[in-house]
Amino acid sequence: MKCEHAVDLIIDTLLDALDDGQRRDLAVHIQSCESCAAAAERMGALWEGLGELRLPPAAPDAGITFRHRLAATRWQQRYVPFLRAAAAVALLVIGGAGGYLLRGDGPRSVPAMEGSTFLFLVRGEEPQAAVSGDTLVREYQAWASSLARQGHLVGANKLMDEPGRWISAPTSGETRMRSDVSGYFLVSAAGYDEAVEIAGSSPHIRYGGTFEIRQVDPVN
Amino acid sequence: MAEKTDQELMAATGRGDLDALGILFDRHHARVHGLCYRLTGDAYVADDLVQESFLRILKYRKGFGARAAFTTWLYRLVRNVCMDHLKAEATNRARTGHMVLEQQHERDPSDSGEADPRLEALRSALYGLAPDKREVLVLSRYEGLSYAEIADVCGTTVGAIKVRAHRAMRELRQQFEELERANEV
Repeated sequence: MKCEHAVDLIIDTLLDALDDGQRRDLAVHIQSCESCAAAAERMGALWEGLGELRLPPAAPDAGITFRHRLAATRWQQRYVPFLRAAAAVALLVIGGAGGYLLRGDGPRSVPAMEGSTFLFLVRGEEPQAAVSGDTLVREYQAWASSLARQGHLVGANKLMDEPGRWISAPTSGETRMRSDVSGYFLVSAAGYDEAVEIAGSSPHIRYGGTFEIRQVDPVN
Repeated sequence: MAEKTDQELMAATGRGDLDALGILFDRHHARVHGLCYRLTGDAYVADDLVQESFLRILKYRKGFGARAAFTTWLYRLVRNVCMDHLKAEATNRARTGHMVLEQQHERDPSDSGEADPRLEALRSALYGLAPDKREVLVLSRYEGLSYAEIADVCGTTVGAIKVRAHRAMRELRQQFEELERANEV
């Protein structure tokens, strides 16, 4: 037996992967080879040493943390699809009829207030089940109408559900890819603090949805 | 419900019973934490990965076959969570030009630091191995899995695992001896 192969067998012994015949062959080789005998002893000590390495305990509140996360998950399973549907309806309403009001020739139009413009991207996973929720849709519509009345709402649109097109240099082709952005609100606010406050007042956030908030660069 | 088998609890989880998943968490989280810690070497990261692993059980509950061994399925899932984390960490390091300092967020140095300098050198050597080699040693030494079981967990062949094990032990020995020599100087 070559020493290189003997070392492989020594390692297999440690990992408990040798049959009796291989063990006997290895034992015979080790008896006549000082180098492999030393390697067996050395690797055996390392293997034993691995067993002595300390193991820190798990976080004592791991179970509580997991229950909280499960509760959040249970809530999301129940309501997030519903939120997405409600947000989509609100965006359609605002993007359509709301556009008329925001143009300035509607009966209840309010000039957009001075300040910076912020983009609220509606983000979230695809709904897992169809749900109904007239009350929540009404809450969305009430929130958006309130923003319009206060002059905060600059615009809103729901994006098409189909995958969008992605293109980037240096390739000339385009790729169809689905993003988790389903719509947007454009909101006028004095700064990020107010934008976050406005976003926080929405049913979308109150019921566990997500907005990505970005300030529009005033250069454009 | 606590007296139910893992398979029965997984079946209940598959039907949307999250309390069943809570019981599985209580039953297995310490073992999962041990595996996450052995694979990553960071107790705080292991805490997060335990949570992630059990949430991933929820996500992939439909993929659990009723006749499958729960622990093998769990090992595979936890191993994937840990490897995803280690890959992301390596990518992050590469992106930041290796400027991120090595952080070992031990809960308390006495929790995992080795008092014996030889064991500390062995620990350093273990975490100096590439993750795909370390996992073979960890799954064998601490979880008692055979080559075939490790291959199943890692999604590869027994031959590939054998080769990795041989290389891992040789590298472990080499790195340990280099650290020992450095400590003697």
